Amino acid sequence: MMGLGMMIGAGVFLGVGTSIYVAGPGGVILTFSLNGLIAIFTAMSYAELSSAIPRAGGAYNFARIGFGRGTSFLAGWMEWFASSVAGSVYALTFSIYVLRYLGHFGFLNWLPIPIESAVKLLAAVISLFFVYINFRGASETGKIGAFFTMGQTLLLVFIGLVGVYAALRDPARLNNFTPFLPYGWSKLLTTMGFTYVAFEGFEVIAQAGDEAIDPKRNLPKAMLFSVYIVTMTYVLVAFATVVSVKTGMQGVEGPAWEWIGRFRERGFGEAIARLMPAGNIILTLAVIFASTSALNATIYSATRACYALGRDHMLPPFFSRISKARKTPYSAIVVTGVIVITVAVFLPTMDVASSASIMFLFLFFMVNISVIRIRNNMGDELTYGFLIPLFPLFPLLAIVAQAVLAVWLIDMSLVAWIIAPLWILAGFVLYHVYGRFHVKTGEHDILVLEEEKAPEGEEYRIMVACANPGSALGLVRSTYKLCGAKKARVELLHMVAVPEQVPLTDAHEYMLNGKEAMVEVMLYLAPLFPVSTTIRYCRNVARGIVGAVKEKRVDLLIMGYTGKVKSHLFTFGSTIDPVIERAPCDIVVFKESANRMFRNILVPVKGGQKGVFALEIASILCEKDGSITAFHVDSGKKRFNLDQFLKEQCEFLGDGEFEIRKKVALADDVARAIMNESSGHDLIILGTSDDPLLQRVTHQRLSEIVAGSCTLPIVLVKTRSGMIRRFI
Amino acid sequence: MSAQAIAGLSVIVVVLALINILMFWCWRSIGHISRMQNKHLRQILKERRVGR
Repeated sequence: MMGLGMMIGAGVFLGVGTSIYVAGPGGVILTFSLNGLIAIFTAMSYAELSSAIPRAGGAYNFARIGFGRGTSFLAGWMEWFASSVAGSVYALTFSIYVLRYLGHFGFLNWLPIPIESAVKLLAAVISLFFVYINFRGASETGKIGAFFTMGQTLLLVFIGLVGVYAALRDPARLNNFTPFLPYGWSKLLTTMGFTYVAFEGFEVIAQAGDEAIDPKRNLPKAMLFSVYIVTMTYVLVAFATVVSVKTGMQGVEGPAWEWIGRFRERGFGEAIARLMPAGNIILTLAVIFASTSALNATIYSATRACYALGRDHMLPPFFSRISKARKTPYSAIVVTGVIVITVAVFLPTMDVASSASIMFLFLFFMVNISVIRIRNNMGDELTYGFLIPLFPLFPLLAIVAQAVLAVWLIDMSLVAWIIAPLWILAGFVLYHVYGRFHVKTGEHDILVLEEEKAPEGEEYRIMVACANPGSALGLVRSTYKLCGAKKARVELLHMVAVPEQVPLTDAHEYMLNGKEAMVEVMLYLAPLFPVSTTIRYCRNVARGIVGAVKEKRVDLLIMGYTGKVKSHLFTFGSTIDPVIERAPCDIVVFKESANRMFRNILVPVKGGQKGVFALEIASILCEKDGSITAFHVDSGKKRFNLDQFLKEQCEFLGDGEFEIRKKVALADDVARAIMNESSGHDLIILGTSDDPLLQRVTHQRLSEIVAGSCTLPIVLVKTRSGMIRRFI
Repeated sequence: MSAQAIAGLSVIVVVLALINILMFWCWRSIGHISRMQNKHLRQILKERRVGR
């Protein structure tokens, strides 16, 4: 999704019309299909290297391993500029197409400034907005990004399919392909170089290499698949554009392909608007989805490259400063934002796109050389998850093709050929004047991961998720009781949440709280139970916890819940909700109930494994001489015999030194009945579940209602359930 | 449609077929064949190093 989001950005929207203008109707489809082929060659190099060295950094990292620090600096330096300039292209695309759409409503007549200035101004504003989004570093942007990427891909595929349908219904439209290449093959090479920026997205997948699950398999798959999908989509869209109008149609002057080409970067829009009803709005939506998600991804990618250079002291440390409040690298974000906006505002659109393309061509050139060198020099020290077939044929083909495309770009933009070498030269000088004398080595090559293991055994495993020293200590008493009853070994887990823009290798900056929490809890638990501690880094705490549960084969997960939820999108919070949904183990969540003693516990039951588990937890937490009330609300919907349930399924209750009370109430509103019954009790234990997805959409869970409105301490328990049940 | 256009579109179909074949080839080797190739590669490179 990340790769697709960055690729299906502006290249296709700006590139199709311009390619038709420069290379003709056949040239545009050849441009995208041949570029796809070359991009797959390079994606294969990235896939091989990422599968063997799945670490953050992408080209920067590969160049360092293949050629050393100097070359890696240049790779990072080029990556930073290439991604920033790509961001400018996306901002301009957004601006051009949004203003084009508004123009249909006469909006442009009201503008007090020329249209060109309005395009630049809007590009600057949208860039500024995404610089701010990156500064905020909200984790939810990832989900929105995935939604946008899916939306834009589907819209483009839809546009392409409508084009195919139109051509099948009216084969005369295929005459638009005559002449096929009116200006010859050399113009084809120019457009290939110009639109190459539309295929660079797989680079960002390599940059986040250390965050992938099973990187040896998944990184090559993600890279190759994203290039494949993008190539097919572009070819479809280019075909649809060429056949969208017919020569002689009303308003189409001259041959149809010439008419489309005349609009240059807006050609795609003008053509698609005539292909289908509501073409304008569909197209504008696709552009908004595509360019904003790509802009977000490129600013993120450029920031990471800049931050990495600052962190390794190849650039002044100013570039690696992190905001205390937001924990994002604000200096890198601001400088990247300045580049994005400056390039977008002061350079013509075609030169901006050409500069981005040429920089990526140089960068990929370097990666293709690295893959050959790394395999030859240290292939026997690496474990590959993917090997390029017929090595080194494809990297060599990619090198030759990219060199030819870069040279032919002079034809499109001389400015790009001045800017790109100047930037590289500036980097070269900067490295020899500053970077090589200040570069940090050694310690940053090691990933931060602390783990202290207790002796292995086959006993029951309880994992305690410690967020900070305060909440961790609160869980000690309850954990102690549960571990004692289950004769369990304890896994203490602290997840270090590292913002998206900071590589996971820098997680140690965020670790202090977790270490303190671990030590506090260890003091109490270690003398009594075998205790292991793990501090892990992650982007998303919930995903990290679920991953740890699976990896450690945990039987029971214990978490604390403050009762405060920041967003209405979540019931128990952005961490607990997904953990309850996905963790393949029993779960106990304590709400304001962690470090207390309980004598009167209320356990609402309606049968099932959940009820048994809730009563079992109640029997463990209840003090001597206390009482447990098994409470059933009969709403008349389902027959349930409380006596029989307790007798047949809860035999363990007979072993405790507490009183068991049974109570059945008749009520339609189950939640209200539980709330009424809760007075006189000091704890409620509620069973919650990873209810099927469809049910969750339409119904609020009982546990949600009670936990949300009850002031008493609450323990939520959930038993594990199968994959199929989660959805149906 | 002219002969030129038919020839041009045929070239595109060939390129797309090539992309599909390449993708299929790569896809198959991810994680499976590569283990065997890995072993083979290690052997070759070690021998080459010893030779040097």
